[in-house]
Amino acid sequence: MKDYIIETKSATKSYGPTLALGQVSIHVPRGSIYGLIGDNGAGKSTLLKLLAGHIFPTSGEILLFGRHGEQELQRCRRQMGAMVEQPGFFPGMSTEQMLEYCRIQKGVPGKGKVEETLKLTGIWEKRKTKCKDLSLGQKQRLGLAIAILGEPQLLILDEPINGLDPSGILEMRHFFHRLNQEKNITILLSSHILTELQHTASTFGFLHKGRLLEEISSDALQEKCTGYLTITVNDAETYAMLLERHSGEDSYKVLPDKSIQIADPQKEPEFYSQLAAGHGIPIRGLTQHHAPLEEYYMNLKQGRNR
Amino acid sequence: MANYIKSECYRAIHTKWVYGITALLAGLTILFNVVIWLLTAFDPEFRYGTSSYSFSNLVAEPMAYCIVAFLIAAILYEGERRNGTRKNSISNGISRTSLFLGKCFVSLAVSLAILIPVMAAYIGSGLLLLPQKGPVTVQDMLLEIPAVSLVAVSSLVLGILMLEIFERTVVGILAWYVIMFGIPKVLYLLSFKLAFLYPVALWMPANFFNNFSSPYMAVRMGECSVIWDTVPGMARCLAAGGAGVLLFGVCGVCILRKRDA
Repeated sequence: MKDYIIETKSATKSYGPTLALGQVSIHVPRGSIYGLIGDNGAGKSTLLKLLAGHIFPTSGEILLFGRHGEQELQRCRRQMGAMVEQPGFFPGMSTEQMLEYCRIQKGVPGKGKVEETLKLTGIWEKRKTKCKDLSLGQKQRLGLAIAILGEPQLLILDEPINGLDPSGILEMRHFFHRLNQEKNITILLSSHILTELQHTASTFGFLHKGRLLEEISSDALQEKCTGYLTITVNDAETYAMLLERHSGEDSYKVLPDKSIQIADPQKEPEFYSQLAAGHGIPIRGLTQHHAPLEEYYMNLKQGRNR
Repeated sequence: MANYIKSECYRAIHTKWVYGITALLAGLTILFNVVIWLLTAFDPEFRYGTSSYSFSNLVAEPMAYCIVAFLIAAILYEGERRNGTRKNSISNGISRTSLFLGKCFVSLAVSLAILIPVMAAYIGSGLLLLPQKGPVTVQDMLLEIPAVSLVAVSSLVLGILMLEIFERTVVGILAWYVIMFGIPKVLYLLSFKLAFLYPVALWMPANFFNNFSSPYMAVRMGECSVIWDTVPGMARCLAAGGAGVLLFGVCGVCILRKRDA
């Protein structure tokens, strides 16, 4: 049986007549980076709030570290760090004081942890700056610092790269990988920047209108996101005829630069290169393009990927 | 809960307004006594130039303690929802009950920390600057503190509860005011028509501490009769305050236990 650090069983949350989350059952494997994907209003933040304990489910069950029940969940949340929606802090406190406040609250021993965490998240230089005077990106980093303080086993992050500049995004990607690989921290993160999630996550959950459409590992996703193949040859017309005759491909097009694009190829790339070589047609290039995550998600929403 | 209380104490210690409000209140009481002293110095016939007059202002208004206690709790916690700091605490695995009780405890501790220097400044400057004449004595001032203590705590607990329940601070303040002052006043006024309400109304602090509506309070220039002078009077103060703490405390735990943040 797989070891899930987070599991929800038909978790449902409604606000009066409005259903924010309906019968969602997610499974976050221990040690993974789980990317939660969905449009605005898909229920991502609601799900993360449920897991962080900010709100209670209307029905269904939540399991953290394999445990359930409110008291057990509260105990489990002590081994967890979370940043859901905006990072929370006292505006008049300096970043160092804010983190010290959180250190005391979490019961993390050693004052050195504050310095270590501020350095790790890249805001040590801003330690004397009041929280209210931080830029959006710096606030995100402070929120992250609060979440990772005390080296939790599980991190829940809602849009953690919001407000970060491109180098900050790259830095965060490496940072998440390092936390995951070196410290074995399981990370559940949501983002609307899907390409970023594609680079970071090892498992994906797709939410749409409060429902979970699919959970899939990055390997399986890679296989499904076959995309298209571009083959550049000297004699495109002859190669196109060969394609029709030998592979039965009909969803191809010859581009103005004499390259051939095969959408959703039926065979492995080696087949196409051997086909050309076998008939004496020199190949100048062969590139496999994977469909971006956005496209996969759009198709999934429209029920095309299943 | 212990870690939460410790962290909140750390915040209070590192918050400038705690020192500011202490200095302001202490400064105002000293200024008040200095003004009386100056007026007496210029006009020897000035009839209010006594420590009794100075002290009577607080002795006649025990509900001032409740207002200050609520204000301190409100300043400490009104921005919590807006700042998102409560969500941090919940994510850290602190139960809502612990949060509520922790807030009550910290607000009480901060209130006491502010009260001690302010009262020392008030009494000290009064005794140093003004002649000790008249019916209101230091003893009345000092005995007022235990008499009003539980009522002030109940005001603080109610205040925190109202600020937790209502998303808008101003609504929370209004709700607190209605329960602490509005309902007792209405009951007192109704008791003129419905006599059976009179004893009920007299169990409410806003009525039994009131210099005009209470049969137990008469603090004037020539006399000082206060409810805590007698054992039954003091018992009424403590019982009403204790009941308030219990009632609002239990309500807080029950209402907030399963409430979305």
